[in-house]
Amino acid sequence: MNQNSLKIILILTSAIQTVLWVAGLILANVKLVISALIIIVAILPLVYVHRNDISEMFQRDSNKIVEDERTQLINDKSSTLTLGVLIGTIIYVGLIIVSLRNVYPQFLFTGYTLLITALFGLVIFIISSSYYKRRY
Amino acid sequence: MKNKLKVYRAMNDLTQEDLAKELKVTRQTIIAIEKLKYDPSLALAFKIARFFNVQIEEIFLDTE
Repeated sequence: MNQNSLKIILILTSAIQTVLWVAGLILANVKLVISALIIIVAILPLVYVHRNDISEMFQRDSNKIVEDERTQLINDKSSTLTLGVLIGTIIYVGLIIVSLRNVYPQFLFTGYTLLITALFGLVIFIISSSYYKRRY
Repeated sequence: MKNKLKVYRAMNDLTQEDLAKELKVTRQTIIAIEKLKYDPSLALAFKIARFFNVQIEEIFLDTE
């Protein structure tokens, strides 16, 4: 498959997915959202195979360098900071909501959801960090 | 770590943009290296030395 047809496929599927997501949210129809997810899963192998060409494919000037080791370092540092702040905030807000369960019992489920989300984020971080520790 | 990148660039009559294109990095990276705000990786340091046809320690000086 040449780059031009891949680019067209990616643009078309992205557009269809967006329409399905938005329609699913507006109409409160989970079938549309699941259809969008199925399209994402179907297109993922194609994206994975061509992952190194995608940024170049959508770049106007292919000769222009937009990413190098310094930008990767910047992304690495800023994403670690973002993750820390985000997880910290979610944990504290979750703890506050759970500790206020006698005053606002209706928000208890929200508090637990926030705590589980933070835990999920930490688990993903630990798994990816141990993977990269073994790799490098 | 100190470096003489600016000197070598001037000696070869290159702009930051030209050097960045040759080394396949962004112009901001060249600026950051010249201002001593960023130490390049070993691979990039070797690439720079190879480009100017000198030994790596002639451009990059260990200050410790």
